[in-house]
Amino acid sequence: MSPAFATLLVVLVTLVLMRIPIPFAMICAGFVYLWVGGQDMGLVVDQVMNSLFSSYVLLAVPMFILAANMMNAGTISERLWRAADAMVGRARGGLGHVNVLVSIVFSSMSGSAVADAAGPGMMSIRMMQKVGGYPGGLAVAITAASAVIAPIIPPSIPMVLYALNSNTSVGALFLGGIVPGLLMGLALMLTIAIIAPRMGLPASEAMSGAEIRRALIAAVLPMTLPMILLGGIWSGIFTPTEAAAVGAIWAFLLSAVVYRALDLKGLWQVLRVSMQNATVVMLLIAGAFLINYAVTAERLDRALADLILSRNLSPWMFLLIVNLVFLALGCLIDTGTLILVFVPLLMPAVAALGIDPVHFGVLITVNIMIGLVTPPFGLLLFVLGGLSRVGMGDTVRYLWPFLIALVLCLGVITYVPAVVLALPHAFGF
Amino acid sequence: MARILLTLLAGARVVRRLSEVAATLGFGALAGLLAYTVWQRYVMGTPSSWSDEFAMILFLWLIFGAAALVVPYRDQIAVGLLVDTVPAPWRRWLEVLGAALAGAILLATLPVTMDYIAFLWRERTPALRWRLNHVYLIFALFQGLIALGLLLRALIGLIGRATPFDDPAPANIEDWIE
Repeated sequence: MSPAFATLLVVLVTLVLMRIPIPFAMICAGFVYLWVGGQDMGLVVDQVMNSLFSSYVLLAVPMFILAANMMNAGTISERLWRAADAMVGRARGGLGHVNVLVSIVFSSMSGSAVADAAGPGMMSIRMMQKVGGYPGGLAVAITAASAVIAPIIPPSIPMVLYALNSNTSVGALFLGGIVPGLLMGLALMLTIAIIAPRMGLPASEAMSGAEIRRALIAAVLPMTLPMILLGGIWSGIFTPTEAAAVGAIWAFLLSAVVYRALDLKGLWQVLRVSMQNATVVMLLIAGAFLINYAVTAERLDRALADLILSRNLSPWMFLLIVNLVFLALGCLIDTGTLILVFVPLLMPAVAALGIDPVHFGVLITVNIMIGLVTPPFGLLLFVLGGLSRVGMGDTVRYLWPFLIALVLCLGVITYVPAVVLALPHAFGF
Repeated sequence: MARILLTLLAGARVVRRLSEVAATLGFGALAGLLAYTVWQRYVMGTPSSWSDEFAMILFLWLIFGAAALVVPYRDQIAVGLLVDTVPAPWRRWLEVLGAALAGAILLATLPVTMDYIAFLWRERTPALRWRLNHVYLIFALFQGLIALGLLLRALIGLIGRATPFDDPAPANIEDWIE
């Protein structure tokens, strides 16, 4: 490690610990790295602006954010909830199952766990507490655990970021996430089925045949959104960016024109919030380009690969270590930083060990998402706890069975690559 | 002195509000531009050569413009691992020191950034043929505004006041002054 890179690390860690926003800290560290290394500091502009300007796929990120916020504002979550209630609500612990099913369906329209948690997730918490009499902590725990599925089932913002760094096909990653996402949903529903009799969790009220039909029909139009989004990408009609834009426009048409649930004021709010969300994410990406430049210039990724190969680590052991390290990091560091800064370090080692980059991309996304619900720093726990005014302690008490279920899924996804790769291979990726 | 400060803060609020309106409209235009690109390519069969590039340029200006002028400092991604665990006076000093250090680095390197951007005047974007120094100018504006904001934050923290525009923001600017 050169003195320049050591200085970069010192400046970055110092500023981050002093609560300077991570993107600002990355840009400062980038300037200092170039200065100490005797390079032209103008390279900061070159790396940030040229990298962003040439990454057209990144435009998909703000459009996925816009589509999710548009759906949250346009009663689409409520329609999905009623349809899911009609399908699985009658089982013991019915509202818990409904919560998970809504998350799975919403996942196919949104690429962000936080959007899932703040939209259908908050609605689920309200319904579980008011209608089902669930303890607040349990409602938040189920919602947080099920929101983890959002970036696994496509579309997925973290997978777009991973694709950018690993030269992997976004379409292949999206296909690779489907089975793992469904597996996680199934595991959560099984967990609810096990705990429901012990905790006396009720079933939903019975619906008549006509009510069930109405609820299912009301969800038909929203379900066209994933068809447009994902069908467009996989059939090769749209690029991910175009599909995301079409998805956002379609969500707008459904919310504003078909359901008339979005007036001009609501639309303005959605655009304003989406713009701010997108800015925060994109600025992080801009900063990460600088750190990646330093890592590549120092050949640290190659050095790490050589170290791993020299220790004769098997792929099995490598993935075990990666999982343990990222589960720990995921509790402390934000998703974007992990994918944009830490994952690129591992890519040469992944290639050298013969691990499929699509498999690695999906498992690392699952891993980092589990970090979002791992106490005591999991972001989703803070978001949902803050919005629903349920204490962290209450949530954590009920969270463990769901966390264990998710970690078991991660084990299966890690050591049975076919779970991830079967679909991409079937589609010719 | 207080009157001047009040006027400056009121002016800053107006600028921030106007920037927010512009960025929100810009974000809507970005979605529209991408939809137009798809429409031209798949419906009209005449791919637009300029809209992809214009969307990308708009996107760059939105990110850096909104980050500098619209997004509240507290909404940026930050880690409170250390700061949140120390007593309040220590917290304040750590934040002041961090803001001063980051602000100083960004301000000191601003001339290099401006010089590099100015150097790009010969280069043009592939489709619209816009000068690259104009397109990339937003990065210098971003860097300058963030540097000033951080230094101001450090200064205000030094005299022990709450920073205006932070969440929760004071109800009135006068509350901040008082």
